[in-house]
Amino acid sequence: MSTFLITVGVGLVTAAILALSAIAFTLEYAVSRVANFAHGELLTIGAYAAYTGQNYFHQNVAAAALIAAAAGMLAGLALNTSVIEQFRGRSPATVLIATLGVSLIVQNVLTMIYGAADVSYSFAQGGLHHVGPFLWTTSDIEVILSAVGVCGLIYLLLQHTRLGKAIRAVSQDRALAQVSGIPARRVVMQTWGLAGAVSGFAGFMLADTLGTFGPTLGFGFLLLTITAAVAGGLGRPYPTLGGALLVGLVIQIGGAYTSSAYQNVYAFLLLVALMLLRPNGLFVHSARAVRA
Amino acid sequence: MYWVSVFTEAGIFAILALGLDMVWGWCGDFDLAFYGYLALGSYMTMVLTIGRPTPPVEYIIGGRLPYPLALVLADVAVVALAAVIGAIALRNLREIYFAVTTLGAVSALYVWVENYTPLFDGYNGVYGLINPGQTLLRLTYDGYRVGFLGAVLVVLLLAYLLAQRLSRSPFGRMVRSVREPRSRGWPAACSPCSSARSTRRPGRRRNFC
Repeated sequence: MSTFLITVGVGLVTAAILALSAIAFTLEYAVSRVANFAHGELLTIGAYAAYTGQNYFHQNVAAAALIAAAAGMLAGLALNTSVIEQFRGRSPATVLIATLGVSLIVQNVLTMIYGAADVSYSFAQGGLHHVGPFLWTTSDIEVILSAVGVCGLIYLLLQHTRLGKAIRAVSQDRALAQVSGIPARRVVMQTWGLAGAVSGFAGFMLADTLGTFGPTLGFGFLLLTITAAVAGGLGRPYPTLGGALLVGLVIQIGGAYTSSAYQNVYAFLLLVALMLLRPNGLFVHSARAVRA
Repeated sequence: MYWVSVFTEAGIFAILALGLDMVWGWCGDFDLAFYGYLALGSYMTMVLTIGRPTPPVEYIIGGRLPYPLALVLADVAVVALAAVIGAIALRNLREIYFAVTTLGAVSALYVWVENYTPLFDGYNGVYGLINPGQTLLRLTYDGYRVGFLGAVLVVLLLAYLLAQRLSRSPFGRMVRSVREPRSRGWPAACSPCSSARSTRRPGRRRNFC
């Protein structure tokens, strides 16, 4: 029983990181209607930026996290300007290929700079704590708390600011938002910046939790991210949190009882089940057919 | 000899591109699991021809079949895999949902092949391919490479002619109609994915896409 609860604890940590990654993915989808296959690279860039930055700030975790978020934001803005906006109005498959290409380019450029071997941070993980039935390290607790904090900030931003209102409007209908006087292009840009920052931060936390990471860090996380986003119904930020929780727990519990190497297989099985049974997300009442 | 290897590789990629064109170009569904079929085809050809594994290396089958038969059987295995993935991904999933499902399928396979050693010896992979040109036809090494390029080009030509013929046939027209929005193409072709009842040529009941 205690093994099970410890596994649930690990699953919650995974879910916290996954929630940030999936919310960023779903925000990108909401405003631009693209499945961004280069999303994982935003995480990887954040993780490597923090790796480069850690020496300049004397192993300060907060500074490293901020650097990761800033790098992720820049990468998100660059991706939107150079690829996504250029391919606007083209068929989804075309944009998908373009982002897949970006993903490969970024992975290989990172390999050129940092080498293909795994690297690791020199942050202390802290001691073990019993929190209720769970067993977490200090950094696990920091990950969960900061993920909850960031999700709260995103909620406040989306519901209570003009930018949030504009993002919601653009995600419903970009043309209609445009004619209503919302600068859609700028709002899309800001959304990608936000999504990039959240991804970069998530990438830093993922790398810190895993211990070691390489240029394929984010791409390996992409399938989990997409599964979580689909579980929530693509383009809907709040149900995505539930999706992330589900995916995090399923892969960790499944992995604990077989082998942690098979996490992607569980994610795929979950994805297939979701696609066949609830293609519009878990938390919608009517199951309409998926439109293109 | 350098250019021989370059053109061989180009020919192989051209055959692959023809295959991808049928799924993506004709049907409009972008199948990211496509490179998984290539991998399974090479693995199956290997394990069907190279004989029993010597421990600690382990892999399935370990047959010593003649090379052409192994190629056919490997192809059958790949078609079976594509049918399974298609049965899942083609259930009412289009565009990015389709792409995401096939991506999931291929990464699940990747993880499985890497970690489950009794299948294809995991990370180490299977090696020891029998070179049909040097054993059966007694060619020199360079002669074999030129001969292989010739074989690749012949297969490419056959594949191209077949694709052209298929594309012009009623079946090809039906497949291409799937690419159009469902409302436009589907009444005419009448649900080509589940059956091909209403195409002009009766008896053609293959499910393609």
